[in-house]
Formats: sequence, structure tokens, C-alpha cells
Amino acid sequence: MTAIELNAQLLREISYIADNENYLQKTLDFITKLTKSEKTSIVRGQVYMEMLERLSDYQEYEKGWDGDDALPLSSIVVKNFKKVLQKSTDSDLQGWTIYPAANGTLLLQHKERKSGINIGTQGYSYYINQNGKIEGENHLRFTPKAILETMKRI
Amino acid sequence: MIVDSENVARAIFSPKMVVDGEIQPEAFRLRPTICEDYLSVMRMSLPSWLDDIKRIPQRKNRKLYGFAEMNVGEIRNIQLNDVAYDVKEIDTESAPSHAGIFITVKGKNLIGGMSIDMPEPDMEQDFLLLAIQRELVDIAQKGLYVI
Repeated sequence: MTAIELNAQLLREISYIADNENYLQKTLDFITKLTKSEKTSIVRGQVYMEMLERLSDYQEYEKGWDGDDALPLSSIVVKNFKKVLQKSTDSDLQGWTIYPAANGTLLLQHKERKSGINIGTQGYSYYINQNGKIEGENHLRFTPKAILETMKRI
Repeated sequence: MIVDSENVARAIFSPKMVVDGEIQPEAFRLRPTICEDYLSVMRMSLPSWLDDIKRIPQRKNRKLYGFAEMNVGEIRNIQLNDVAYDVKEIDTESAPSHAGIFITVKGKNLIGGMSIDMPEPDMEQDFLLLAIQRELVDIAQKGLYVI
């Protein structure tokens, strides 16, 4: 069935439903639910998929990818970040992006706020710049929960 | 003396340094292997600047991809606690427009930067280096050109 035919059928059905108030309300409720769930899945998909796509690209980077002496992205770091992704919601990821760092770690950086997290094999560090005042910590123990909490905090 | 109104160009030597139009923070890493104490740039007010960039030695994995245009005054005006940025001439015969972005932390020159021995953010100043790079990336992002 073509899109035009489908449209015609839909309009025909709607005209039948429009005569019955009860059907009309039920249809409206169903369409509202459908639209909301569709919107949610698109947003979730976009942010999550963008992160995964970038991560996959970065995994292809070989030694010297920066035109100098950079190490490839560590496979343990990739596993760590995937654990973060699995435990995250889309709102956790909104506004964040990832970059590889020369020592094989993964830099999670906020696009608007001046803040970032450097994820290693066992540890991580983070910074936040608030009006020129830098705050941060090094040598923190990596757990997905710790990364997600830090993302929310900074 | 380089005045605030001048612009400088930071060469980008790998297409991987630009992802979806975003310049990577690594483009502003001081290399520890050569104890780098400044980030090389070319003064765009001098006619030779583009030729000077093209003359920088290239290797198999180091091919000129583009450059980021940055304003000197904007670099010097970065407000970061205990950190100061300056742009100074490094005039050489082979590259008359050569200059460097120098960074000091509490008055001491920042040299080398991140260790790349292991995949850990293991240096005492790791978070500070990230914040320092970020400031330069934000300026560079505004004038990114592919050659």
C-alpha cells in the first residue's frame, strides 16, 4: 500500500471515529501515548548512538593518530565507558561529547559548560572552570556510578 | 612584540584532530617527549605565514590538514586562576612568522604536559591541563580552516 493510500484509509477511519465521542477520546489518548514514546526513543537514540559511533571511530585510531606520538584508545577504557553508557539515561548524556586523549584515555567534555572528565583504565580525573576558577581532582577510582555522579555535579 | 590585535594560526596535522567540525583538545597538547614549552603558531600579519606552515616537516602520519585562526588578545585575556597565557615571537630564518603560545602556572612555565606512558590520567596536574587546553580549543573553534 502506498503512503497516499494509507493516508486515505486513515482519513476514512478518522471520519467514522469522529462520529463517536468515546472512540474519539480513546484514539486521542492512544495517539498522544504513541507520539510521546516515539519522541523519547528518538532522543535516547540520538545521544546514545552518537556516543557509540564516535567511540567506534576512535577505536580505529592507531598509534600516532594525532600526527605525533599519541597512543591508541585503551580497550579497557572503552569497556569502562561502555559501562557508563549502559547505566546512563539520555538526560545524563545531554550536552556531553567524547574525545580521545594522547595517553589512551577518553575525555568526556561538556559542550557548553567548561567541564570535563578524563576516564582511564582504573581511575579518572575531572575539572570544572567556574568563572575562571578551576576546581578538579585527580586519581579518583573509576566506577560507572562515580562518573555519572560527577557528570551531574559538574 | 606581538600586539593584541594580531591573529595567529595553529597548524592541524591530522584530519583526526577535527571530529564533526569540532577541534580536539589534543591539538593543544604540549608534547612531553620534546619538553615542549610553547605551542607553535604562525603570525598571520606576516606575508610568509602560510608558506611557513607548509614548510613544517611532515611525515607519514603527520600531514597538514588545516589551521585554527586565533586572536592574540583573546588568548592573553583568558581568565584562569593562577594560569597566564602569552604569545611571543620565535623568529627563525626558516619561518619568520613563527611564534609560540606560552603558558605559565603560578608564574612557572608549563613544560611537556601529559605523560603518555599509560592509559591513566595519572599526573598530579591532569585536571589543570585539561582546563588549560579547553580554553584554547574554545578560541580555536571559532576559526577553523581546512587547507
